[in-house]
Amino acid sequence: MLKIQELSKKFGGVHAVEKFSFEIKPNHITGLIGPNGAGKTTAFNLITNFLPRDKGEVFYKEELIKKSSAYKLVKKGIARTFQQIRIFPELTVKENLLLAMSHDYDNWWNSFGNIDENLEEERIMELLKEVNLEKYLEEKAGNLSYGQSKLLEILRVVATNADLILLDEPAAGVNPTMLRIVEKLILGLKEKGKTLLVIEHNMPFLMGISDEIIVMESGKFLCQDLPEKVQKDPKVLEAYLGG
Amino acid sequence: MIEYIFSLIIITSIWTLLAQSYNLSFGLTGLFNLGHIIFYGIGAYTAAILNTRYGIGFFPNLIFAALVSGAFAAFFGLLTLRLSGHYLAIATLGAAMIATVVATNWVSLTNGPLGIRGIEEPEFFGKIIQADSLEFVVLMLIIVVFCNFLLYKIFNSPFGRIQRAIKDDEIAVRAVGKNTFAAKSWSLILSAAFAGIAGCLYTHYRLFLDPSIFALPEIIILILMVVVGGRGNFKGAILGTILVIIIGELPRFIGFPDNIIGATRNLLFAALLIGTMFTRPQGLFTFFTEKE
Repeated sequence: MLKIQELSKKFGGVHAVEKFSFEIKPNHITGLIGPNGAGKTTAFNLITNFLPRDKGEVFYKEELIKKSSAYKLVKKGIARTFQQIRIFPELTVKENLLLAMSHDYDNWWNSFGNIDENLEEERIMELLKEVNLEKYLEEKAGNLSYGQSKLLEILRVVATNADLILLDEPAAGVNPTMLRIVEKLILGLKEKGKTLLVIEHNMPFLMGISDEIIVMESGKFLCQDLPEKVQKDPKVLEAYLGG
Repeated sequence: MIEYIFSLIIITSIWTLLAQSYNLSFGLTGLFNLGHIIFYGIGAYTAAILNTRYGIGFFPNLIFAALVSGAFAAFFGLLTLRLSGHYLAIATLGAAMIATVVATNWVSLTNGPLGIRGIEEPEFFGKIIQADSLEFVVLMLIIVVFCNFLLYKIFNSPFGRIQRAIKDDEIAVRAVGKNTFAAKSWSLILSAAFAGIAGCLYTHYRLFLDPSIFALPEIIILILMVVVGGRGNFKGAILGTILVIIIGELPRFIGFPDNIIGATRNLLFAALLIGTMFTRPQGLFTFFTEKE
């Protein structure tokens, strides 16, 4: 589904990501872990073209992803969330989601007119009901709580209809009740045939939902295995706990 | 007195259109473009040159002014829209200063500092509509209301939604698959086209045009109108324009000597801007237009 070969990025003299290679299978949830500063988010940025890569290649469904504008990847079926929540606070919850799903508007001329958005609204309500946010349909996104904003950001990615979803710390700062909703949402996406790559520091959460785990350390690939094996791998323990 | 009232309505109408056009790119999309006055000036010069040299009348000139300003904005956008925030502001402010220099020194085209005279008044089915007449007021109002209607549709369309999202977070807009460069370019082009129409209205009202149309104070007044009204707030830009023009006329009514009216007006504008920024940075007119 997604194949990364020798991905590299330097910031000045620092190798943020160095010859990082891995592959993820379709309809799997793959966790990406590593200590702080391991280069996980940089790798996400390189895969999704939010940062230009110095070297390396990204293949999605066997197709080489060129270094081009980030927005084009969504049309190919790759979408992502961010470590810091990026919702549109001045737009309503409904507008946040409409923006993600309104592919008819890619024709600019259409986007000036009044397009019937009833069909989209039905889908939006379905999405919101999955995470109990339906009563906030017309609420400004900026008025949502932190956890609700996280959910909205994930829903927005879902609304793009992408097949490959990259989630950057979806459980960070989320209370236990909300965490269960996030977990249910992610597992539900897998059931619908989506493939997910998830960065997360909440190990019990990630190990519970992942089919496989990739470990990064100092910008490099350390290992890739089943969650139960990764947790016992001495190299991983050393990377996290130090010598 | 009636001529003064007519003149005030006409000037307010033109500024309303100009401020609303600026509200599209600056208010809705969040482009900190300090060169918007260039598009107004280009529209004005397009109308003046086409009218005095080729005899093209007011109504075709409205379209030509919009097209030329919009085309220039497309080129201007290619050069500047990769920039954002303060960088964009400085680059566009520099462009506004260059525009003044060009208008002053390209004498063969603009007649330089002496300006262009002999611009004709609008003609409607053979009847000349004189500036400061009731017919002229009605004509201006019809055009400005129609343009504002089109802008209102743009503000409230899916296109407008993308622009508001860009103002919130451009990176997130890219993350949902939208081409933000194209969206910002369209915002600038449309904004410039309406500014060009406002410039054409100005030209055919004043019947004289010189490079002072590009002057820096005009940009400040424009920013004031949009900020006071509330950036991105459609009704706010109209109300902000009316308020700024009324405040600008106050010194005349209070009876200030002519030689200090200009300075007093600037003081009042500065006080209004500072007061707004301190008390209601979201705009003075968002109380009853919050839903927008």
